[in-house]
Amino acid sequence: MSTPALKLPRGLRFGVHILLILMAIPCILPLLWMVSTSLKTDEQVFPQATEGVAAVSITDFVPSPVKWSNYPEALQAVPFGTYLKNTLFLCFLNVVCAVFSSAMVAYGFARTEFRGKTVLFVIMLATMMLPPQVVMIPTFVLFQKIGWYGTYMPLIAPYCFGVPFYIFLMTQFFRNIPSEISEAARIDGCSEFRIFFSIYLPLSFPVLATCMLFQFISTWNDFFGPLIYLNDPSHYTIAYGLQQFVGAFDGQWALLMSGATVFTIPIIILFFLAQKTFIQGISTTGGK
Amino acid sequence: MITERSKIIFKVLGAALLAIGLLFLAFNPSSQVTRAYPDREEVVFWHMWTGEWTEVVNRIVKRFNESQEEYEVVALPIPRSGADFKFLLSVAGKTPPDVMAQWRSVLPAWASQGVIMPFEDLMSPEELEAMKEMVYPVVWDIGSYDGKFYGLSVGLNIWALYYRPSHFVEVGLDPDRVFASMDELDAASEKLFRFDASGNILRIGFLPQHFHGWLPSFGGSLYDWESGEVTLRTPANLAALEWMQGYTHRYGLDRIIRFNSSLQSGTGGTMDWPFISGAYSIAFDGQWRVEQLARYAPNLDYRVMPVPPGGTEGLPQAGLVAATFMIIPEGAKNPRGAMEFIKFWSGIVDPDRAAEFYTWGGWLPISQEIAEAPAYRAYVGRYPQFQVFLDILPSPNLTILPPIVEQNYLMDRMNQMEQRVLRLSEEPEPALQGLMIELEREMSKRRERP
Repeated sequence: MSTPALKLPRGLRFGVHILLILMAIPCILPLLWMVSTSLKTDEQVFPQATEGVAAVSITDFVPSPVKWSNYPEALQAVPFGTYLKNTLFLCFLNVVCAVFSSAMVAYGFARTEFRGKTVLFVIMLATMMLPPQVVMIPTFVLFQKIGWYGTYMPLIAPYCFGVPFYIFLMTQFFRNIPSEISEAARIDGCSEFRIFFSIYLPLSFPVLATCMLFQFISTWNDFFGPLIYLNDPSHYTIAYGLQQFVGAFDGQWALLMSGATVFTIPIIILFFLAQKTFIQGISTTGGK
Repeated sequence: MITERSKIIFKVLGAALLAIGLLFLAFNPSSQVTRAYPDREEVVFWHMWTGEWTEVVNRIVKRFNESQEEYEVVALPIPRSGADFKFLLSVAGKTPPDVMAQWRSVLPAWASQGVIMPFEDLMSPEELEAMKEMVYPVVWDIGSYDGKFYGLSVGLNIWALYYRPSHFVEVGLDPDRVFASMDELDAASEKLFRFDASGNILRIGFLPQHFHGWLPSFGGSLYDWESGEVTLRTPANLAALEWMQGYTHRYGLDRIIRFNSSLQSGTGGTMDWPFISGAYSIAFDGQWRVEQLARYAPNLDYRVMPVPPGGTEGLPQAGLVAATFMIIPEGAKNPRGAMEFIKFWSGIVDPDRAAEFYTWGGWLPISQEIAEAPAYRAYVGRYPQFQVFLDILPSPNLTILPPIVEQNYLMDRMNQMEQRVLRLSEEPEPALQGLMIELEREMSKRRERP
């Protein structure tokens, strides 16, 4: 269901667009700085006045000369190919496991009746309130005891058993789907699994896509997981590997920004591609 | 209503998920690093030298691995933002590395908690005594806690005054003359400040920061080594803090904030150091800037001088020394190998050989033997500014941070206190008093813990 577009006079619409563009500038500045720095030499990164304060000007954003070689240098300075492969491997498994397991649990909460459902739902929600620091040490010790320290397992296994936030989102979404549909299907002899797979999942694409996107971004950006559990540079992910650029007392800014640009582009592309579905998923679960 | 068929399907799916989990278990992609010398004993070494520094560390590790046939050091760079956390978790999980390089204020706390191993367990008393004789006294102090030795430095850090000779000449100061007192520094700074017609700052002559770094030059200290107590409210410490606040009074908080805000991002990196752009004529900073300036601003004309004595109790060639030191965690699988590596790198066993490592990283040596080694002399020949720092090293007026468990806490609270004083929201005397109360409260909390 789409909302009818707001009709504004042409002049006013133009003005609104100008205003929105102006308001968007501060948001896009860091991104522009990142891309611009990625094409600069070390000396250009921070403008140096021979004396006194260097005033920041718009020309500072234009690299001169443009140093394209920062990109191949950055990609060679650390094994980006390996990091990318590892990250995509984790992203794929985490997205599949997290979304599928969460959807199953959410369906249970939304459309089946069993004793203690409300209590379980509240407990599940309560786990979202726990700060990660609280569970980190026991979780680490647990994974270490079962021999998973130094492997990918602690970064994958927890997602095979549902993610509370996704379960909550999906439960809300499933509850919005008229129960008459599932009841009619049940009368026609459909099993719960068939209802879940053939009716609920196809109708829930926006929320599934939203959770997929959330999980993808979360795994893509995860720094602490690989930091804690991985000990072999050949298993590092992009978010963790990117930190290798940050030197002990200094940063190789141009290279760091080249790496960051490469790191950010897939997320931006993904967001633009999935933008409509993403917003639909959020708005559908947010309001009744 | 759930049908029997659905129940079966859900059970099958649950079993499938479990099977996936078991498959992962079986697959269990081990994260072991490929070894160059698999027949040797492995020594796992964690450090925080990332970026361009990793290569320096790898070269030293390679030299060690080539120097003997018993051990193989496997180095793992860890981003410093999470290194302590990873280390502590690994100790808790009984899978720590064999050795780690550190530079944070962690040694007393970790030693008191039994997280790291005393060197007494791994070195004979004669060896320890010989090492103590060899290294600068501060190296021994930095590594000691409660009568035992826990961390051997592999590089020292000292701060001094960097200055721009061209600015000195411009205002009629002699760039060859070293300041004899803090009053001379103040007077020079006054001349070097530049303002526009509206009174806004165009250039800062000098602006003191890092309270703890200035204390020794005022004859102050944070710790009484005789009584083993923290000393914050001393006349010398107060004089140092009042002197620092004097700059804010003289040049105006608003003007200073406005000027500093107009500078670049201020992340503390080399490129945005205001000294390079000429926004500051004199800057108080560490010896690592020499190497960085050679790399990032090779044509910059600058010099270095020691901090002059200040106040009535001031001391020459004084300063606070920090270090990068090696620690061995409790539960390390190969502490003997770790010890051999530490001796190799630090130069305890062969100062001439280790001198080269110090030059690769631009680190200050831990002993006079290393400082006088041919490789290090050649390095100082290339970077004469380093000599200023080397001259300070043997000084009896050097001090270190208090060897107390709350060292990190103290540093954190002291930095906050300094900011309040410099921003004129608190007067120096009550600020020091308040800091002492905060510290005592924290210490008593620890004492009350079971």
